[in-house]
Amino acid sequence: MNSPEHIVVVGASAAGITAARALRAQGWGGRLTLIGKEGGMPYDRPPLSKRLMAGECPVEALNLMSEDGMKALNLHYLDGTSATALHTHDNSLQLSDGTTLHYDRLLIATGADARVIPNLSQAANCYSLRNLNDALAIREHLTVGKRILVVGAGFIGTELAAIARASGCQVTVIDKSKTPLAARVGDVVGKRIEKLHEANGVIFHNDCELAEVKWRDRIITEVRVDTGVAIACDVIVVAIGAAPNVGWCSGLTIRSGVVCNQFCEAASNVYAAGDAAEWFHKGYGEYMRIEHRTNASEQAMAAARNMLGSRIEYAPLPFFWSDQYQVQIHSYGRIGPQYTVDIVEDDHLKDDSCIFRYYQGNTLMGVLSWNASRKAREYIKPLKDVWTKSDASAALAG
Amino acid sequence: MKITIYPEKCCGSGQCVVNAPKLFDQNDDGIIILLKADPSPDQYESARLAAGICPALAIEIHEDL
Repeated sequence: MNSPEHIVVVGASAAGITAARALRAQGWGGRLTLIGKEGGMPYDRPPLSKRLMAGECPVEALNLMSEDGMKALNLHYLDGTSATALHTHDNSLQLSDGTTLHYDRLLIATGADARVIPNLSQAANCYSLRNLNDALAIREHLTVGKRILVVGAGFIGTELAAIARASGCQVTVIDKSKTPLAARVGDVVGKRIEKLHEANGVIFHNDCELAEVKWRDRIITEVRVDTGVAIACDVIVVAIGAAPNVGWCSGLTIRSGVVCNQFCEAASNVYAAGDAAEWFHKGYGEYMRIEHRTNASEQAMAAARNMLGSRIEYAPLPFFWSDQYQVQIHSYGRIGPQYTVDIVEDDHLKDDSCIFRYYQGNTLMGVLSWNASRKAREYIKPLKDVWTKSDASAALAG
Repeated sequence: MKITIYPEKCCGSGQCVVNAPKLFDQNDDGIIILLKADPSPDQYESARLAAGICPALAIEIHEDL
């Protein structure tokens, strides 16, 4: 594989920025172009529903790379630009400004956008929570007595609910599932999260769907769910997940994201990383797409090295974390409703701390720590035992 | 190379300890502790990995120019 002259990274969020850094850290000195559709300087997203939303850090703390940092990397940043089409046959892509850009290697790091509910999204008081502007607009509303309706009891929805309660809002969360977050963390932990929220005054309506919406001009004043309950609201936040931005990736295989092999390679000279990528995890022996922050940068580092000629099989141990009131949740490996769960309470742990272990039969698949992050490290070692025998665990260490 | 940490940003993921156990540790609350601010050249790669992988941007690497 010849050293590429021009690498184009599409997407200027966690994956794209990490890839740019990793390419230079490998000593590669070619022409590097970064394309970002949002405009402005690249920023980090997890704080949008956490510390930034809570007013605990300034906007500047989210900065992923400064102008000086870009200069130091000799990076050409096309901000406010998006890719509109891909032509793999001649290694080029089309941009929203009408130009065509040739690449020797391409990294698709376009992430995902919030899913919306079309009818609701036209309301002046209905928001998604994906971008900085969303977060700042929602934060303005988090004042004492405001009635916040959160549609969707996932991580973003529940994190926002916690902060809104701490700000003195009245918070109602509606969701299709019987237990909040059960589809992600299983019933036991889902119930514990629900109890935590209820103790803090959040009202849940589970197992229901939106049935009716009352408008006053462009404002939604009330929604009714299909169980008949009516919920009056000042603000609605729709947090029903995200969809990858891969519509422009013509000529590639798309399933839950751009389909890649274990080397994060989608086609000749084309790679993908982060929320937009579905790749073959050789450890688990299946295709996966992971919408978590650590995966964005970890996969970007692997893809960057592979773009320069390495053959790293990207096989990480999945990880994410969530802040809910004073509770911090960390998850390692695979968790979910399909596994049986046991709880490890430890006398050495502080109050309201424990570790949940997720088993498939006798095999440990995942570990979720509840306020016990340091302790959890003792439990995560066997998580790779389930992996099919391969050199996958050498992944990035190699 | 020099390493700077920002414990106030740390989310306690422990990813740094897993990837560079000679350079980082966690306190009982899971918050990052820097064991070595000036890694030896054979530790540069793991230091970069830890900084790149940190989901909270709590580790900064200053490369020698």
